[in-house]
Amino acid sequence: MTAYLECRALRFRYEEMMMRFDLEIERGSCVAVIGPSGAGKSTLLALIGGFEHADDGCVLVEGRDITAVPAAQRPVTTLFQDNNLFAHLTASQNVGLGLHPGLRLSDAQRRDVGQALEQVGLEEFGNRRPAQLSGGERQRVAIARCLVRRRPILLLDEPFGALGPAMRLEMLDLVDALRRQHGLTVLMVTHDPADAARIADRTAFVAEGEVVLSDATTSVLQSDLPVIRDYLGR
Amino acid sequence: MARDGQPLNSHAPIMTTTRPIAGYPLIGIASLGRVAAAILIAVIAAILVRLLDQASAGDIRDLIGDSYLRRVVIFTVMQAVLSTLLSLALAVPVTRALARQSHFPGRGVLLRLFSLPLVMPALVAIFGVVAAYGQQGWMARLVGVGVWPSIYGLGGILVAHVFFNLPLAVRLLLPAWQTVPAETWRLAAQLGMTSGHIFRLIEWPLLRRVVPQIAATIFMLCFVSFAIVLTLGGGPRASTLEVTIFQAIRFDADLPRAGLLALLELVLCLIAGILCRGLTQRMDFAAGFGRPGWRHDASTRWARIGDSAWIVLAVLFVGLPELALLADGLRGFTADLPWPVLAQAALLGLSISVIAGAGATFFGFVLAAAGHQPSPCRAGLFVRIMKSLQALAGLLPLAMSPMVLGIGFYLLITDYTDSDLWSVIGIILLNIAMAIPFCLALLMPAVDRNLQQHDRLCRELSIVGFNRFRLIDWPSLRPQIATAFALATSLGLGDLIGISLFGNPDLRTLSMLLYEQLSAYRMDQAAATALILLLLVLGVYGAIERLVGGKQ
Repeated sequence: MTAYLECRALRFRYEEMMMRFDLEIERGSCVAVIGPSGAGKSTLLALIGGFEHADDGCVLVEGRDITAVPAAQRPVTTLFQDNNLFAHLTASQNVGLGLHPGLRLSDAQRRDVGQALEQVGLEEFGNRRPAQLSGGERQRVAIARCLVRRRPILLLDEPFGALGPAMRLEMLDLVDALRRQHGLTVLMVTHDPADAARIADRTAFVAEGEVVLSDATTSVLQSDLPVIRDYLGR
Repeated sequence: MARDGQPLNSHAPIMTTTRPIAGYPLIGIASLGRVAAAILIAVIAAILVRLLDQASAGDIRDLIGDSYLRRVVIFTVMQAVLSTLLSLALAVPVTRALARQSHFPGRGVLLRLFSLPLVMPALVAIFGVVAAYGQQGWMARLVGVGVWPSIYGLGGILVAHVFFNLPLAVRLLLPAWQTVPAETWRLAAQLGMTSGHIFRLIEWPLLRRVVPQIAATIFMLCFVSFAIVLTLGGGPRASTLEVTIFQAIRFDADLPRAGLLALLELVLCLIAGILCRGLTQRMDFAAGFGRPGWRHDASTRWARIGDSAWIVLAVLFVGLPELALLADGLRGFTADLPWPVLAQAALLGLSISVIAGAGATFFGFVLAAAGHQPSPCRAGLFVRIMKSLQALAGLLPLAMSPMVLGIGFYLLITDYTDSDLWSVIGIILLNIAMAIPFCLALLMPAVDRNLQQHDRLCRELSIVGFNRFRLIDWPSLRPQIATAFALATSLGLGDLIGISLFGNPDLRTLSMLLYEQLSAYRMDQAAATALILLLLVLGVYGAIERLVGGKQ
């Protein structure tokens, strides 16, 4: 069986560091990407998202090569750690951008925006600007925008790193619920193994620009590989 | 921030019993700043009193009924408004192009050439502009002499002002693009925004925030522009207040009228200053020409064509006078040059400007530091009054135009003596006063950042006074202090107001010499002098940045 999302010998040079990623992900799974800072976790997501361009190798979705496809046309949507929203636009407008980059929306699309906000629990907050929202609420708005874009693959780049513990768990559960409901494939960079343990069935460990191990989350977290033991502090 | 001492007070009993005194607060920067503020305010008060005294000898009714003067005031405002609009209308698309095309070979060199006018003395720039765009200039020879319009009058003033302020505006605008987080550009790519969408949703809000500030800065600079108007304008149809004041004092020796005009300009500057209040105080030159984040719409064919067109246009407009300066200047060296006069003038200008530059940097630094120093524990009425005076002291020279300051110093000094030594001192004092606002604007953001980072720790460890300057402030602010010093010195080298008020045939700087040669249309000699002055400025600027700033 071929993988749903595959990075095949994906090479990228960042300053002095040569990265080479190989990764296979099944449809509908949730994969956590963990590893030391500067190992290339965010670069891996940027390569899949279309924000960085690989020197060699390819990204495949259902066997189709998307390496040369512009970011906007990939079957992928990314949620960043911060700066996901435009400060001068309301929550609804920020979500609406996911449907039309010039904000010319049909009535049906407007209803879509309302529904997406409802799904993240913010139906009353459509007219607020980011400054009037909490950190968690802002990320919910950004998730709502990911939903209206209807892309099968959701990439999360440490999206809840700045949130408190309770809010963090709440957001992880929201992502998990939305994944099940919409059949999304999720790839999430995180610093915290607990995040991986909570919602990810599989985990990829990245070190020095390579995927060192990709397996069921429990096996990765209990792995005896020295880099992983050092990272986890066991 | 632990302001007004409350957090400190709550720990006071513990501190007094356990903490030894680590350093003697001999001369704190705050107290130095207070002294500096007091000196500045005293000098400015003296100038005001002297101007009022002088003006009372004149007849204010003469001014009100003076239709010539009315025309001058209207022209002063109009040329400043037009210069500002033109500079910005060009700067916005050029900056957008430079920000979008953040990686092309030669971008660094290009930006360096493009920012050369920022340190160019006004008269050098004027020579370049005349040599490139004048009636006998390069463009005229290309198009055909006779067809090409004259550079003298409003047109020339605008061209020269844009030559100066287009690079300034780009330099101030470009950092705004760098404040856009990389995620925003990625978001734009992810959402498939076109250049139009990006302009509407990302760039326009950005511009609305920064452009008023930059417009105010350029407007004020053009409002009080002197050398350009004196050389390229003049005559009744194209004269500004600064030039009219100068003519009253220098050509008509009509001191009462000059005093009245100076007061009029002071009022106008205050009005303009209040209108642009809070807009002109901060300009972070130090931000420089970094690269904004990657944009997905940069590599389409139309984006490339459009951006290249803007960049080429801007570079040609600014580069042609620079090229003319170099080529004509080199050719000028073959002419018969008065070398001893040139050397003497260079030496005098250099001595004056280095002393004045150091003075202005000192004032700028202590004012910037003192204006933000958290008050001591017992923040009494006296301290609060002193703090507001400090804020005022930094802004006052901005409200007083260079010419008003110049006349003030001129009157104060010539009341007592007209010896050459005192003339030189007068020029130095004037140049210090003129450069303070620039030094303050340059140093304030850096001093602010530094305070935010280190102030609490310094107070915790009681690193105060000179120790604090030596161990903390100097190492972290060295590059900015050097830039302020270099800029103030290059302003002094280009000064025309001080030297033309106080100077005499025995007391000439290169600027003065260049002005005389330009007015006498001795273009060969002017070309050589302009090039020498430019090289001197660049050499001194580079030397200061290297020696003081520790740049390699």
